[in-house]
Amino acid sequence: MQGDEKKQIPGMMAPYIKAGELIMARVVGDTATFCDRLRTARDVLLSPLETEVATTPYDVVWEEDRVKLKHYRPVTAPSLKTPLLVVYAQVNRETMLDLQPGRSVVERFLAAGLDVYMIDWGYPTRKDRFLNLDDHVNGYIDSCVDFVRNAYGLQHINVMGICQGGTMCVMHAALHAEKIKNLVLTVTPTNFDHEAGLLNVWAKSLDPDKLVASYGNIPGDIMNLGFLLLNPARLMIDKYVGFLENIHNKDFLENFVRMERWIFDSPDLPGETFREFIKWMYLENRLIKNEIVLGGKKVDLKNITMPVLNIYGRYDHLVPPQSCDQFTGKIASRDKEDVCLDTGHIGIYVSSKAQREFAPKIIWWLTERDEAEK
Amino acid sequence: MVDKKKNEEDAQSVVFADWVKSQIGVWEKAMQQTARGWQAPFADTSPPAGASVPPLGPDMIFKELIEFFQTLSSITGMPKPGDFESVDSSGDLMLKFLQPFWGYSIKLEQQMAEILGMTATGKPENMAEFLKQSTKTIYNTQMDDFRKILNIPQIGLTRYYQERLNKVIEYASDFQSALAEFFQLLMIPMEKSYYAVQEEITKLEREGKTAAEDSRALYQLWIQKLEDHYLALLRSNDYIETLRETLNKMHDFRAARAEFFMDLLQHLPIPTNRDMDELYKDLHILKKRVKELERKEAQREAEEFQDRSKREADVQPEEKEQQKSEEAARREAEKKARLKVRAEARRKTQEGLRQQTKEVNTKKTQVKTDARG
Repeated sequence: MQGDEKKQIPGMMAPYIKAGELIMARVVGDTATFCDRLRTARDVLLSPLETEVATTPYDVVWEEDRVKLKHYRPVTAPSLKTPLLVVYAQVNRETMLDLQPGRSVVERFLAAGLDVYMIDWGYPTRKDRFLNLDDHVNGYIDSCVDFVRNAYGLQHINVMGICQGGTMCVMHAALHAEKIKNLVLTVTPTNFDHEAGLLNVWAKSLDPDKLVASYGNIPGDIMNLGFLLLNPARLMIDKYVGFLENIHNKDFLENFVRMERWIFDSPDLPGETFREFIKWMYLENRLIKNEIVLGGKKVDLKNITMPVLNIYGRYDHLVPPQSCDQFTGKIASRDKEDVCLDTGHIGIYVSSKAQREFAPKIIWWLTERDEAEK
Repeated sequence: MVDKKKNEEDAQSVVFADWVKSQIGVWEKAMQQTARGWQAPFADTSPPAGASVPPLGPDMIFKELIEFFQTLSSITGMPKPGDFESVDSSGDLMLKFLQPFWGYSIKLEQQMAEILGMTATGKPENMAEFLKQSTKTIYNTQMDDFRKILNIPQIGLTRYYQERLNKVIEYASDFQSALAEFFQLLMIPMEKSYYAVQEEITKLEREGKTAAEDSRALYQLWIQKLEDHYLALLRSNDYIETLRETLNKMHDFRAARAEFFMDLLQHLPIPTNRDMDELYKDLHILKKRVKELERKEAQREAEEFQDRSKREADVQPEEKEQQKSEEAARREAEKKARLKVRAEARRKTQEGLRQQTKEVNTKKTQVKTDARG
């Protein structure tokens, strides 16, 4: 690294050789300890590992095309008379909410006596490339809401939307307000006219028409590559350095592999949905301006009158606070609350700190409104 | 140094010229034979013993082709008009014709050597710059000339196929070029963070410490610097513009490739993406229509049910009694009518059976009478 050694490094290659050296120095550390770690790591890697995700039992109670509605089996007597329908994004999978026992939002909801339904969007194939936002909002989501309403003979139910799923829930709530009793939004982008997040900056250089023409459906791998490029230093280098440092730790390894399985389990996004989402949201910011029309009806945020809880993360690099904090000011609900947690986009669901704040807050908020009606 | 280089180039050119002439000599003899065949089909093409071979065919054909090449030269940068005036043989002609390609090949080699030479002296300061220059040499310079050839209009039955293949080649090169530039940009933060760490090492050395003692701190410093430089890069106009360009080139390439593969697939019993997309679109529209019809039907039924319930709820008790007795009378009348129809049907059946039995008996009697007779 110094003196003569430094001179031997070819000029152009130096940064890369240096990077390799730094990584190795970090990973190896003390040689004796490193050798011990390697021996343990070998035993750990060859032993049976528990890396399954989404292990909470459920039944599929409704399905149409690739979309399924999961009903989680209750573990206790219901404490709320209104069931909760969770609508995840179409990017990545809903298994994030049930990553592992002890780090599962679903598990917490069930333990608190919530009756939980969740939409599983499945894996779109080329056949699904023409499915647009209308098909998802007025089609699948509305059908799931109706199914749960009919199952309980209720006029309206609780709905919780996550990320892009939340954006679709906002559209649904504006079009079918009478079917939603309480609306919970988590890391849900509704305002796109800012440059706080890199996605907002990059989206402006995208030509969704060309991408859809090229791919049909937008491949999950392409979207994942985009997410990795949001922070290559941490997501493509530091994360794996940390993995190598802790490879001998079975718990760490199992958690790491679970997260990897979730991250890279990325369904493709139906082409038309992608086109409309990029154009209408990122390029034209139509939702917050009440300029979207779905199924021949205008999506007017003033139609949203039910109680709304809007939770987002202060350090969210995908959906920054600026994407979320305008929404409650645009709706007609009188009972509405913004909650900004000190966490990121994924951490809000899986970090132990968020587990202590996030799920309990939702449970308490829903319970309070459920009791108010009794 | 320059003279030495020049001599090397001259020597290469001489070897190249000898090779071209020898190759052309072989083909020239074959062409002369063929040309005689063209002039007198089915005739004996071997010259009589002692007769000299007339100067025809190949040279004439090549002279005619000069016009064509001269036209092309304006597009592709090949030999200019007049370059062929001193041509005496087809070997010379081909040498003249191939010279620019050979010259271009040497030029490309020189450019690469220059880049590598600069590397040795550390002139491109980093790998990113090296890649940028290499990309420019390999793709841009090369494609400027090659693109002209690819874009020569195609003719005949297969023109569209050839054009589509040419497009794939052209767009693949453009995409590779854009992709290389994109990756080159991504390398810059690696290099910038390196210099930050270098500074830190120098600082440590001045303080009498060695870098290895605090490698973890150096790693943290490096990764933090790397993150900062990436963040700055990823927000820059340069990056966004390169990203846009790369995505556009990718689209062009993928679209051209899809067209090309559709040409291939149409000869096989395999549906193309275009075929399937049309089908999927029809299916999508049909499903939407069916759903809409189902929704309307359900709505209509619900409304009917509501109307009926409302009507029933609105009716007075006396009216209800009267409606009930009327309904009962109606049902009784219907029942009687049904019974009457059934009785009539039964009567007709029995009548038919009696008739059939009678006919059978008559036939039996007839048969017996015939037998006695």
